[in-house]
Amino acid sequence: MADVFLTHDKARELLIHLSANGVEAFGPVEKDGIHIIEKIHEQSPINFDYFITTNSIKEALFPRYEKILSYKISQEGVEVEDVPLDKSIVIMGGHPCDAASIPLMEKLFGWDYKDKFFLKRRENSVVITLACEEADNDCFCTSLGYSPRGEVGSDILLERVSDNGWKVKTLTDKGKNFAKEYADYFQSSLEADKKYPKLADKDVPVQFDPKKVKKWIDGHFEDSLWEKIASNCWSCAACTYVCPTCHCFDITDDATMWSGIRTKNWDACTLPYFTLHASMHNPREEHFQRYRQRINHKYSIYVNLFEAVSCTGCGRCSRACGARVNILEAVKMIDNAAGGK
Amino acid sequence: MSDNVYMPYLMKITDIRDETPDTRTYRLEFTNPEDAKKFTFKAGQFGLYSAFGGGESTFCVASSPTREGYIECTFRVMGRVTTQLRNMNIGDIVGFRGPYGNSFPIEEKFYGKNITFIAGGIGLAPVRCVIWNILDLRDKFKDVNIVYGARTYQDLVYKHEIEEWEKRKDVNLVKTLDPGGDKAEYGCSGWNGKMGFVPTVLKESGIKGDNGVAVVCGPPIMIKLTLPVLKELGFAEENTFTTLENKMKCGIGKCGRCNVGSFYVCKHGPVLSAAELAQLPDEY
Amino acid sequence: MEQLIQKAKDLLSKKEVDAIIGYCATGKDEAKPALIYQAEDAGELIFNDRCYNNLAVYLTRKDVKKLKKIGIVAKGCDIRAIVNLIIENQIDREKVYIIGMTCNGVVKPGSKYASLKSGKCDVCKVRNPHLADLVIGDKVTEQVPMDKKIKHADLEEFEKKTREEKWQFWVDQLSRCIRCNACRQACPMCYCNRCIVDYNTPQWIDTRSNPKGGMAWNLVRAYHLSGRCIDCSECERVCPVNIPLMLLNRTLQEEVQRSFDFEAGYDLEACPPLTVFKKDDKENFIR
Ligand code: SF4
Ligand code: SF4
Ligand code: SF4
Ligand code: SF4
Ligand code: SF4
Ligand code: FES
Repeated sequence: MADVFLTHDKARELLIHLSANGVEAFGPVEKDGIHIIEKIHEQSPINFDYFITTNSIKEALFPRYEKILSYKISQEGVEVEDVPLDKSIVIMGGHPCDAASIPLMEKLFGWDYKDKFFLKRRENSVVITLACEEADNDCFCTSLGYSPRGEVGSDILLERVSDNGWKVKTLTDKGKNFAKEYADYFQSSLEADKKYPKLADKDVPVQFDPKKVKKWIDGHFEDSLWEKIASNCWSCAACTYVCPTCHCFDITDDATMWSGIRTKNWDACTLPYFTLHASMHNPREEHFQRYRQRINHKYSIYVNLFEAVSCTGCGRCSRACGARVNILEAVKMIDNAAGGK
Repeated sequence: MSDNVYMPYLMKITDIRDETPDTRTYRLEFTNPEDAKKFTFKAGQFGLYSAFGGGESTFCVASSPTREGYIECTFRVMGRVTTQLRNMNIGDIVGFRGPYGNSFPIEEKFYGKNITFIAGGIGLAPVRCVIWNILDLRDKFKDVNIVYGARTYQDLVYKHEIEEWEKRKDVNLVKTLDPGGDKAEYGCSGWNGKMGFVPTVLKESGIKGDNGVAVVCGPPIMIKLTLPVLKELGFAEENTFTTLENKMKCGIGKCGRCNVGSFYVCKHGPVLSAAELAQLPDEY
Repeated sequence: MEQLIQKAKDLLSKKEVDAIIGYCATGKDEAKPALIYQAEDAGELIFNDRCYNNLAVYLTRKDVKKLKKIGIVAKGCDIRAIVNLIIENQIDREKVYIIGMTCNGVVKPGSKYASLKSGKCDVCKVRNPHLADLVIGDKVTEQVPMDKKIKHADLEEFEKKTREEKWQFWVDQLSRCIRCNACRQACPMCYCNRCIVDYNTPQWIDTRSNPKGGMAWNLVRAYHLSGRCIDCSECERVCPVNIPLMLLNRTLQEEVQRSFDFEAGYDLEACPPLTVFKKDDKENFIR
């Protein structure tokens, strides 16, 4: 098949075109010096020149808050209405460590009870991922078996060939159909710049063995290492909210006297009152117990439930943490305690 | 049926009983007869009850699966949702999602055994479901013992049913109040039960663990103190069952709130044996 | 650094403190907060211009509060927070050993990390610690005299906007808030046992990350901090989505300064003008 290319300009046009035509288009925008993935509208300052977005593509499939039903209350009783999920979604701008979260999240949201809010959105969406051209000390995708040029979870992978364009690699039928449907935006040639590709797997060295980490965690729920790892954690949710694989949520009602909606909203195990009982008993009183849950959940519990580590090594949590808690360091400390490499 | 797993059934309140000043029981019936026909549940399962406008709250189903056509729930007023639920009247509509979670292995493990129930305070709600389930199939079991205690007379729930069980010849009921719980200010006039904490009363009750199954529910501290006593009395850890109550929001293994290690209370629980409990990290 | 490590070793080995809150290296060009419990770990302590975290936030953390006596490595701006915590009865002066560090300002870490765009060091009046049990480091020249009124350039710029523009500015900025609570958890003055947003009976503030909730949360927080914010800029630094929170805080500080001629965190004897009602206040007159 002939090669296909896409330029930044065309990608911008495409996202705006989609958003104007009833598609929920998500893309990277630059705001006050950071890049975030958000819903695109006509005026969005779309920009593709970044190392990594602060947030992940989670926003698109599992929004910060989302209506799950609505109701009307009257003299006759209550009427509850479902939420239709029929909009097509296009997500452009994540990296392979974003896309890799999708199969992980599907396991959870499909665990016996099917959460259509995630699953249906996924079904309706085309995921267009940018292969990485840069990595920092917080990146560790390769330690979890992923790759900066990885294809897991994506429908289309864009690989840079120049400062203003990519080579388009369609990975699934959905991706192929998308490229066909919007063929006008793609082109058959683009002048390549030799400096690309800039990054290969070997540039992101493997730093620990997740199997060993799990084994240590399973045998050391009570261990002073946890206190050391999390000694500077102040229990916010910056790490969890930017994380592509954190999926915890709260359900709340927002209502007036006669009508209302019920919503599913992000919540996080790192927050102090996440597990507080109505009786005021809190099983996770201390900051390190909460951070332990975060690591335990990703590196052991998820493996027990779904045979996969629920972390893609994107390093977002480390970058977002104002207290400078660093997950790679934490996991390496555990790996060390388990006997090193 | 909707493909939205967060959609509740609509149920009508058909009976209200105030158990204590802050604890209430509702009987709920499906507004849609189709739902009623299809609905089944097992002893030990729970659901999310919603007051529209307030939100959802988790309680066990407190009625027995042998009583069809309705479910009952008993709750204490503790927060936003329960306050709003408490303010409802007969005929009002509440939402119900469920039944969720596992159940007591009645057929597998209880048949042919001596059954001992131990409950404290509002912990009688999940136990009551099993008690009626077993009493409705009485001849499948040997002795039935119930040890029930509360802080004060006022805190005893299901007072009428306690009287009823007390009168039955095929039930051995031991009831107790914490020391000082029989004062007149708690509405008590002449207490004919024991005085003392549940674990102590259980120890002195003469109940034996041979060929026995025990069900324990109540505040975490009571459970922690009761389990060793049951062991002493000869109950096998595999035949001692309890329920875990963690904060829950989704009830279906998604919201990530209820887990104790890899044990999701909403999916793997809420019912578990003392043997299983001993395997869990101490974080509940 | 030698002196810092030596002092920390001393304090810990003589059991004068149970732990020391300080900074240690991360292996990268930055520093991170660390709690040191053992004298033999004191060698990990460092101090340099990357020590931007305000460590006073840990003084009110549950586990630290339980300790009998705690040592803390603090820059002038951190000491302003400690002063406020003492005034508000959150900590006992006797319970903290303050190792004051003279400071020439902290610098902006690598571009991938949140920047110190607030410019707090440019207007700092306490490069030499104003309350400490021991001061480490050579005396440095203060850039700004204590009695000088500070007006931040960004605030001056902002005040030129019309009312509608100001409102729109905040609607845009705050709708980005993901409600991660990093600002609150990083703030040494946000120590409430149970913050108003954590209450749900009644639910005063929408906990969701929607424009309404984001706005309500940030406004309530800013109000609760008026006259108490000590300008350390931690909230702004830790905000993952770069909301200019200091502009909001300073708008309110400016108001307090104008009306009461008060700046928080300098004087242990000062009585803050807005004694905000707190549930765990020692004075219970309001309850
Ligand atoms: S690790 Fe960092 S970002 Fe996560 S909760 Fe702790 S302080 Fe907040
Ligand atoms: S835990 Fe951290 S590194 Fe792992 S996927 Fe989440 S944000 Fe990325
Ligand atoms: S790490 Fe915490 S917030 Fe993230 S998914 Fe796991 S339990 Fe939820
Ligand atoms: S504000 Fe002052 S004391 Fe604080 S870091 Fe800057 S110069 Fe140092
Ligand atoms: S740190 Fe920023 S995003 Fe997080 S709650 Fe505060 S203002 Fe919102
Ligand atoms: S209640 Fe949500 S996961 Fe168990």
